Amino acid sequence: MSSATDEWSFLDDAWRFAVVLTGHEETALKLVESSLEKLARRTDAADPVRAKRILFSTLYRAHRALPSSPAPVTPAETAAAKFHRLAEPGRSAWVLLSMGLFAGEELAGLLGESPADLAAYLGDARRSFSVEDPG
Amino acid sequence: MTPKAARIFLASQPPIPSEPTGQQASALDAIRKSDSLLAEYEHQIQIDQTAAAALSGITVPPETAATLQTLHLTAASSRGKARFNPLDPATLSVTIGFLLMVGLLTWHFLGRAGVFPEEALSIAEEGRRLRTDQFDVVEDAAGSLGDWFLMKGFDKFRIPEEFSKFQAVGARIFKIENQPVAVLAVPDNFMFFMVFDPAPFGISVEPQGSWRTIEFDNKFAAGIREIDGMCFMVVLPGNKQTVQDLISANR
Repeated sequence: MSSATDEWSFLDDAWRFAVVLTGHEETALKLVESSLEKLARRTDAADPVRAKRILFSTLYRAHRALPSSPAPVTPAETAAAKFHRLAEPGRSAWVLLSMGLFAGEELAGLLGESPADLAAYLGDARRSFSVEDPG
Repeated sequence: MTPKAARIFLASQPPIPSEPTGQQASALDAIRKSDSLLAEYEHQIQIDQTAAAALSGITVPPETAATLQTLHLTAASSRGKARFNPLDPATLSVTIGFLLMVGLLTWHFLGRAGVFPEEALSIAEEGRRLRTDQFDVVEDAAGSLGDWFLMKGFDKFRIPEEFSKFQAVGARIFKIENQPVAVLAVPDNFMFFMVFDPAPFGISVEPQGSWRTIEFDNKFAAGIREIDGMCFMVVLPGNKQTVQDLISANR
């Protein structure tokens, strides 16, 4: 369910991404809230495309300061758990790619990695996921 | 595109659609030249599809969607307002730049105001080299010699009231840069009084009535001030303290 305007429909995806990062629904919501507040303070985020990039970049960088999450309880947390266990930056790269949010050079730029390093991290994430969830 | 470059490119792409773009088609062509890379890419597609299916299980609860809506509206309303944030890097940079400019201009003008004019120093150095035999003999108070200088063609002889009582023994006009400078030889303290129009020399002693003092040639000192659009300068042996004491004693 997307309740924001069409141009901002990525807000739901931002929360889903935040659940993967934090492993916890409430913490994810707080992370999205604080990231939106930071976004609102910026004068260069009027364009929704740019706002989307800044928002996901902020989520990615801000989640590192959060404490480790408790065991998953809700369905969303349970679904996110297998991704939450993956190592960064491969985790974020692969989740953003798999959710169809960012790809290629834009994804590399958002995470601050070179295309070659990004490819390697994505490979690591896919391998780790396969080991945990062989099929 | 080499197979290796194609592999790097495709690693960060979602599953390629049935009608690939130029770069995607080029990468697919390149990777098909290597069976192992092609197999690896096919495995990537498979696992990416598994991941996408698993991620779709992270559904947004209705109450969370409502909260996100509220957060979005709150952020959107505050985003529209131009807010002054003094800690914003851009604002901070402009503020620091402005303060630096103000500081620089203040330093420049105050510093300039407090400095003895260099052009006046040249006149002082030139004037103090005059010998007594180069003066016309006069025997009158300094303040009473306006007419004497008028007769010589110097019509703006101005002297501060407090220096007018000093007895002069010699007077003359000499020229620097073709501009007339009236000079009095005063036996008290072996002083010279000099009066000249500051404008041709580009000299300004602001604010009017304030004194600037300086030492020069190791054993002389000078003090200068403006009076009625003219500059009055006193030159005598001593240092800055000597001239400051003279000014204070005659206030």
